[in-house]
Amino acid sequence: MRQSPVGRWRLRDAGVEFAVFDAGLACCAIETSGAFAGRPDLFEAAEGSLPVDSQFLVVSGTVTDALRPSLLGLIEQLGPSTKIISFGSCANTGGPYWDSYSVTKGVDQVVPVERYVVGCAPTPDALVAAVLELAGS
Amino acid sequence: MIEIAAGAWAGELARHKGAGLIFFDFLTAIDGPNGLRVVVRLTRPDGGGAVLLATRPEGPLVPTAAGVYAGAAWHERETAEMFGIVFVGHPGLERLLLPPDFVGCPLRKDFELASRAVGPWPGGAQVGGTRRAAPAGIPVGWAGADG
Amino acid sequence: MARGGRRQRGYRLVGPALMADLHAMIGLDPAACTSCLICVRECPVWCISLAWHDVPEPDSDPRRPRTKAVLDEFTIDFGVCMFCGICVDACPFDALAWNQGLVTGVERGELRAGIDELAAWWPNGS
Repeated sequence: MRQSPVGRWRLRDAGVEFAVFDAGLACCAIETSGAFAGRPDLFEAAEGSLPVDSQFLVVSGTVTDALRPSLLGLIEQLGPSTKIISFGSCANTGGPYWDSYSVTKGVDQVVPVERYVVGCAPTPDALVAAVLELAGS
Repeated sequence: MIEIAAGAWAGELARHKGAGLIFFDFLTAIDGPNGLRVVVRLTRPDGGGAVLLATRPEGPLVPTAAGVYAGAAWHERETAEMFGIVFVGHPGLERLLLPPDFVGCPLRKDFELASRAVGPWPGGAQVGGTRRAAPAGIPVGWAGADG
Repeated sequence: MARGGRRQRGYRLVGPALMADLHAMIGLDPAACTSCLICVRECPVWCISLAWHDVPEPDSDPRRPRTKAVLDEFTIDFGVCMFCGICVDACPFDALAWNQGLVTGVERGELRAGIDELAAWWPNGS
């Protein structure tokens, strides 16, 4: 299974292409890492300088206050056309650590989120579903 | 857990190290019902012979373990910022994890987690009346803890 | 939240043979709930809240009139929920249950599921 921080995928039936960046901050990164490579029935890798219809950043894991500046730097680098998907309870609201002294209570406290994927951790297919909804539109 | 007076702390650590417990597992603090204790776990390199030593700070002061076990330096930096303990003789007691503008000692029991202390507990509503309930795990004395 | 949970858009959304017991969605049987608040209190992250009102019990002896709790609202904040299942286990009336579905399509403001949605997510055939 090929895993990369930047995955470019093509949806087989529809030809829709998208690129997924994963800010794998904590345990949720385990679920996101194989989400698209694990569904060869749906996706094939898109290589080379193909036009990318959609570009997504998945925030998977706890956003600690200490790491937040680095995450914001990454988001700024990716540019405003990148849609942000909040994956898992930590990225959604702070999750189990909502009361912590060192956790940002959801990535939407600092950046606009396009979609929330519910779960702790959500399944890889939950991410696939979220990306399909956004890529198709 | 073996209680040791603060004055004998470094000496006892050295004695255990000399007796073969050369693996410094961790140093941390416990904020218990009778106050703070600093706790150290030592083992042999094979993991056996584990010993748990504890001492109570005098005021905020505890002698450093870094003179005996160099690896204790970072543990003491973290324990200092989390519990407000000052390790006397430490080579450089700066913050390890907390940002420079952080106020308070977060792992002390009297450090209120604002989310739990201030926000209304959804379990506070009562069916039919007079029985009061307090949220589990929230120390009495935090703002919202009287049910 | 989700327009019903498992969205069929021509794709099989739950992967093959991987999810024998998928703990990703919790349903409520409002008729079984007595507003005892045990799930609310046991939830480690305080993500459940409910509201009820009391109505007189018609058959009660007038010398000792009794009331019955009627559930008005039941909300689970699935943005905070850890899917630990403590609420499902703790309910003495089995009013909460796992649904083998997947919540999708969540936009801002849709992380909380109210009583109607939770009732719709009560697993069929259970």
